[in-house]
Amino acid sequence: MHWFMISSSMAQGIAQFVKIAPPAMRRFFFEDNFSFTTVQSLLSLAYTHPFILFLFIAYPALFFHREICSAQEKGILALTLSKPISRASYLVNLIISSLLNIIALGFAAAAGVILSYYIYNTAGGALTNFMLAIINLVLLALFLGGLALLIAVCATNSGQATGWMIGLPLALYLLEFLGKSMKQIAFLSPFNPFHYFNPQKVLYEGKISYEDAGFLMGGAIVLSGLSFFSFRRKDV
Amino acid sequence: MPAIIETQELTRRFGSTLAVDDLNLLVPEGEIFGFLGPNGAGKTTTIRILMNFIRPSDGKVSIFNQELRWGDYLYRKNIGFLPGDLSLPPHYSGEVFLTYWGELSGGKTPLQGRCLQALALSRGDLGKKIRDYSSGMRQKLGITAALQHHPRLIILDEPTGGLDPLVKHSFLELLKELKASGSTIFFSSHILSEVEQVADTTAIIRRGRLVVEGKIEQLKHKRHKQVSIVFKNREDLDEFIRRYPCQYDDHNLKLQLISGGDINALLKALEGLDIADIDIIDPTLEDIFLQYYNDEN
Repeated sequence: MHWFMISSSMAQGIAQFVKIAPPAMRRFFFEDNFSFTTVQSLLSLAYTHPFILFLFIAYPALFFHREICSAQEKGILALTLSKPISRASYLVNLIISSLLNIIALGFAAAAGVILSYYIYNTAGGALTNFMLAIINLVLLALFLGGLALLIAVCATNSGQATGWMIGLPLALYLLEFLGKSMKQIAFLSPFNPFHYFNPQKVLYEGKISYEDAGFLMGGAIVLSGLSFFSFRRKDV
Repeated sequence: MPAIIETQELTRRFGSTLAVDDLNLLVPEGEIFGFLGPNGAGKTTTIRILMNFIRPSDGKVSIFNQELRWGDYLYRKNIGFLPGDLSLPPHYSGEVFLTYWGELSGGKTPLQGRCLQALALSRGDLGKKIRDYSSGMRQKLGITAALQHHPRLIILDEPTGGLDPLVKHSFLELLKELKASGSTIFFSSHILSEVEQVADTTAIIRRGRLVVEGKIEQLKHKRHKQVSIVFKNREDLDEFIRRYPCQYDDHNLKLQLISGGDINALLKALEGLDIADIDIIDPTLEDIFLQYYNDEN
């Protein structure tokens, strides 16, 4: 995670911005311990606001699926399927690549956390708890990956797919966030993947509940199954 | 000769638009089949159905004597396909792309060398990334990829776009060679001269419906011929004009007319008249095409 954030040009850009920001704004960032200038605070921010962690780690994997629409738009999908390749095997290959991507990002996050744990001596929690939190994150990425796959398969162009891929997870996150304070929409929570993404709880309890893991994993499988069904019927 | 492609009452709708309407086609094995029609006539939609990229709304398709079912894909092992809007992976080199494509077709590429030679694509060109190719080079690479494994059936959608005249000529020669070696070629085009040059059979499609299908020679025979007659004397010309009013050149005693169907009727009408010269010109495919389209208008 640290490695990812340190190396990210966005984090460096934010750090530079903070340095030249007006004093009032700088006070806000520093005094609220929300500084973007240190890796510890970035990590802290990420765990305080899980969606930021998700943005940094899961989105690259999520966008992987946009490839289907892009390939269809460019005609490469039709060219590929002009060979003796079944649609199912095309999708399986894409899912395997996407899984590897998500797992690689999970490992990168784990490596970053381990480094920060030993180098910066990050306070609080056992290292295994951090690893479990990352597994929780990977499960969320799998769910959203399944959702992205379904969006990519159903969308008619990559612009539409990108819009849904950004908009839907954001909307789900906001709904979950607002659902905690607004009773009117609280009933939607059990259907929301972010409801089952609780890194703070995992860090505190040192375990992922079966309910959380089951919903995210099961959701990923169901969404992938629906994607197969839709892709089989899709006009290329 | 057995049919390698057969469509029966093939129909495809996109919403309220009827792209292919009750299309019955028969493509004999071992022939070059020209599929003609202007833009938007339904050629590409038909090809997409043949490739199982889209489902027909109605009707049946048989390829290699097997009825095509949605989801079938193994039959494509024996097909070489070139889409009309060709797009190739830009980060591959030409050589890597051809190798990869060859492997997807079973690994053997016996015609690669011949295709590269005919299309004037050098090994040096193949070393470059596809993103650095001109559109003509991309088209040549796409054609090579479609033909290199010597498929039994070759489906080409507007294949000559982007080719210069010299390469176009050697490409058409290559198609004839492929036909001689047993391949069947189904290609769509709106360039009539190239279809006329190589096709044995042709089908003309208009607004998704088949207008006519047959051997080019038969189509030429069936359709109107341009006849030019020069009379030896003024009296015979007047006699002919009296019976069959038509335009004529008074100075040269020459008249030109269009004869539909059987030419014997015209020859009978000329019996007993003194003729200096007669010229019967078969219509070109372009004439036939325009006649069928004008019939509608």
